[in-house]
Amino acid sequence: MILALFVACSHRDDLADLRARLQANVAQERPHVAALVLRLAHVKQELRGNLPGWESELRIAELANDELGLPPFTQEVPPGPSWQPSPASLLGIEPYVTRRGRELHDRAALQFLVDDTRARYAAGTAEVDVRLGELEAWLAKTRP
Amino acid sequence: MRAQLLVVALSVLAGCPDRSLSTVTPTQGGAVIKKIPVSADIDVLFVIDNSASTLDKQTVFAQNFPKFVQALDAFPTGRPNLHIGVIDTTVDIGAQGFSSGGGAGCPSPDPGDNGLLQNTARVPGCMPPNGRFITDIKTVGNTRQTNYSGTLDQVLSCIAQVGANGCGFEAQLEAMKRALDSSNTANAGFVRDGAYLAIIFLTDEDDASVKDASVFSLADANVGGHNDFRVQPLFAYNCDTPISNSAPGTYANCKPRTDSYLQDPAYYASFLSSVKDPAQLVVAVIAAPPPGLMTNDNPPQTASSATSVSTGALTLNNNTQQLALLPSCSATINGNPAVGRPGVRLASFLSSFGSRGRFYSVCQSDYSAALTDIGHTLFNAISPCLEGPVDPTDVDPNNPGTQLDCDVNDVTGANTTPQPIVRCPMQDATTPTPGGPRPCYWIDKNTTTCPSPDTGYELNIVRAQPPAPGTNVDVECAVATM
Repeated sequence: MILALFVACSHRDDLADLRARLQANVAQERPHVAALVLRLAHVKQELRGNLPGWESELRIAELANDELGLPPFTQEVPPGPSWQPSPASLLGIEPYVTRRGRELHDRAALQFLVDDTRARYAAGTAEVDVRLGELEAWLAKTRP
Repeated sequence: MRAQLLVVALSVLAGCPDRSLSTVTPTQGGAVIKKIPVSADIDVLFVIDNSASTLDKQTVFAQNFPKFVQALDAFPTGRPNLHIGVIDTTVDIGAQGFSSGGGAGCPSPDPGDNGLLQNTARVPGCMPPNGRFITDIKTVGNTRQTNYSGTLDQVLSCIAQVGANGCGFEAQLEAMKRALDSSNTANAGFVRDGAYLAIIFLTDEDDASVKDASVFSLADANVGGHNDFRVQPLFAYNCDTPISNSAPGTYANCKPRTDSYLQDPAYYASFLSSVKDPAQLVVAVIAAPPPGLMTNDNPPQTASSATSVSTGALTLNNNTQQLALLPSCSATINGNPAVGRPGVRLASFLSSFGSRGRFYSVCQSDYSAALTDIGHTLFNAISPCLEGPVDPTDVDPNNPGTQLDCDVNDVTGANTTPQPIVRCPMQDATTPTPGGPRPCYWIDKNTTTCPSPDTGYELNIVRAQPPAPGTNVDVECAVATM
């Protein structure tokens, strides 16, 4: 009986620990994602006025925008209150994994969610960083 | 005793769950005809637009997958035997200059798209199927053999949100062809002989499948810029007046142009018919309605202009694209304003499939009704329900039950002789006489299984042993005279 209680409690602790790690990862990545959003906003401000070659660069900005999970790049109005970023995007990871972390009670699945979340943040932020770097370089070269 | 006989009859039926009648294609010379698969095998291919700004539509679509699965699970014989695959709308366009780096945009070559079934996990912590496509097959004892963990809608949602880093020259039809024409060896086994094939498109722009890649090398100044105007609509449509490459315009009576760079949509309809008997096809398009089309939504949706498509300047982040095909519908999707451009070519392609071709508007906040309707269309296609104006006259009043004037045959393969199935001698309206000839068929009025708008007539086959795999039951019934 004591053993069973011990196993149950340690399992619960395990899950709680994994959820805490998930939230810590999300909190750690939040400023990085926010910084990318700011850089994209700056690009959005600068990528105006029919600069030569803007059509190709706009497409790259759209890619960075969609990978971040913002409303469509060319959309002028803010999203409505019911808008949710895609769970397949960087901004969508946090709300999705927070909810999913609460739903999962299987240790292996939760561990996989923790590891997968970390990997997605790493790959996603690196990719958006490259695209924004390219855009920033192009703007620096092209701006009047 | 009667109850025992009923149990025996039902047991025989249950042992041979491959009742399948297919499609009663409306009247041919005074008869309605339907081909019903003995085994409910359905291969479903989702073709999902992965061009820019499609994430909101994909998100909503994925949220609605449970409705699609519910519709499949509501089949009287339970969930069909499924193969489900997902592709995106990006193909190798055979030209350079439209890639955005890192495999995004329109890279050439493009081994990661190009009709390849997508099985990448797109959502954190989700598990994709073990293989290029989802399999979910009923086995002995009513258990399911699957290649995924979790639920069907979860695994579908895991792989179907294909992202928005694809090509802006969406090639829905060419991608479909490349998925099914054996050019992708990794897709092998997806399409099964004898199975029904359902293709479901989700897109907010028209198909731009080209047959001549030199369209991508034309000077930008002559084709509306370095964008998709050259394929949507410049060389895509023939209208009452030619589409201008330099000035905005409004164009009426547009039809797919077949003498230019783009492939004729009829070519793809013909291709599909070579892959699968048209009686075993269901095709659904969720896209922006073109002028003149009433969608299959409830209520039906139409394009913003009933007669014409328009081109004009488009402001994109305070840059001006001088010419663009203007939207034909708009809606709020996932809380955001969204638009769709008219699917003229997609609607033309779809017209080849009669009542098994369904068009729904992409401009709606929820696709659950569309997905449910697609499920019902699939059920109607494979169900043992007779469709059309069947003559209700009882041609054999001495035999209890509903005795319609029908010919019923087992057909296995294209080159085999149909095997006639006789009418069951009936003990009462719903009980075949034990010891009668086998196989035999009987028909009852079952509005639960075959609700309106079906006729309510359900075909039942009693067999002594299961038929060969891939068998269809061909049914031909006399029509009512007016």
